[in-house]
Amino acid sequence: MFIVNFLAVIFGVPFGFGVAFWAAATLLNHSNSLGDSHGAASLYTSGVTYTDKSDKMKFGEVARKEYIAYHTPKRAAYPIAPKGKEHVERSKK
Amino acid sequence: MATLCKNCGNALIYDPTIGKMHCAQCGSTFTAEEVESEEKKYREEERVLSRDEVYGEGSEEAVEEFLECYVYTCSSCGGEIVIHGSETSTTCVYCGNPNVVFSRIAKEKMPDYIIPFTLSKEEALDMIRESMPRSIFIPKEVRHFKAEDVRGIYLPFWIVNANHEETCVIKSTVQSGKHSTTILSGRTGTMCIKNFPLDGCAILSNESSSRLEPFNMKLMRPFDEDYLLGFYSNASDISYDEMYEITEKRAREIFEEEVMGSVRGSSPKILAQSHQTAILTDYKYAMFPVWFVTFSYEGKHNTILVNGNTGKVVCGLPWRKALFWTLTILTGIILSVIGFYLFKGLFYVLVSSFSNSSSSNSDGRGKLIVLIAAGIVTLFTTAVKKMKKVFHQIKLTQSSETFSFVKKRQE
Repeated sequence: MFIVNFLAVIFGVPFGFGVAFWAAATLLNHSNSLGDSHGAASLYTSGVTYTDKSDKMKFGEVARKEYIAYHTPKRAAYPIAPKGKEHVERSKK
Repeated sequence: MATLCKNCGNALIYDPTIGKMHCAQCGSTFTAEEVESEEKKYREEERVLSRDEVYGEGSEEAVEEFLECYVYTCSSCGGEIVIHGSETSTTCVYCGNPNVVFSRIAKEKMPDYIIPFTLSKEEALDMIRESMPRSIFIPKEVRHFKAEDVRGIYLPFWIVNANHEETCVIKSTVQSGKHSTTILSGRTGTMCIKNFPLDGCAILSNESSSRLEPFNMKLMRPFDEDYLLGFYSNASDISYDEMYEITEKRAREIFEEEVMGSVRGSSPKILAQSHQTAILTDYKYAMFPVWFVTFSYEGKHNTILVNGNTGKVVCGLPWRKALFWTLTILTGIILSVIGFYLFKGLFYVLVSSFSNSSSSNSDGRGKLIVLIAAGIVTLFTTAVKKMKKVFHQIKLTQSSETFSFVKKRQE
């Protein structure tokens, strides 16, 4: 019986405080954190167009690196906005 | 530059409730297109003067506190207006007339679009009060806060189109019967981003301004400086690198969330990746409306942001710490007692049947105990994550940079 009581304390106390803490934190997050969201992704994009989906990749650092190296995005071939420390200016029409 | 009423000559101010310029003197209203002035072209040449130009380099008057200040001459009374950083519109402290710093928004620097304020100051304050839920954790002084400053500020935004390409290797766990297997999946793809608004104000936290989304882009119209009258505004002062950084961060978030949902199994985690974000050259410059409301609580300044277009309120409210922890501990004690008896019953059954069990049943009991332990750990980690979110929101709300951004303006 001692082992039963011991296990009940070991599990019961963290369970009790865990539920209490979780409930209080949920209430606090709901009431005191207003507007914690961005615009939905669907506002800005219609989603990802996949060029490769590999579901059974081999394990290992080499296989991983080979995959990344093979599919690494290439530099854009079309005009893009400049980079640098200068302040952004209106794009010239 | 004050745009004057055609009927009585008083300065006009943009009124969000009617969507037109309004004369407080005679009550006349005009649309932005109806009020044009030859004098605006003249004022485009008038520039702001830096501290050194006004006081002379190295002079005693050039004190440290005026480091970021510039001087502009009021078009109505000729008084010296002090403007900070990248401000483009303000109010004259002497005559109270609105002033637009034309040299900062003229020609190449003029924004392409603007979303005018649709909420008035009173409506913004009402939105804040309506947004506060009934909660025991919000102090009474915060719920009935007394606003110290309520400022309508047009923030500069860049609306960008971009292409994001990324390749990644994702690890996940697949359950098959009693066993779990770790698998690796590769995902490569592209994503087009259209009309993504990013905050062009360097001093304001991008996290705060991004929470103001979404803006109603349908209300966006060609820029007219008359919409700035009666409000403050700032010009963009971020660099191209910052523009790329913000766009790339957001693009990666969206891309990775989608690809992680496309792999089999649970607990997906990206092991390796390579990405590139290219912002197209057709980015546009716009001004979006935001109400900034400041109040003090327990000696700390708090700044609430309200989207001046949709009314979305963004802030982290101070909380009653003593009450929170007292309730948590008391509830914890009560639930611990209940939990003790529940687990006592459960373990009594498990231990009693232990001697009569086969090895497979023992495995099942072992897994049950592990599951319960994992569940308890998950409860704590979830609670800690929620608390971190609340602390982070409060930190953004009590940011001294945001407070200074609002406060350092002419009254």
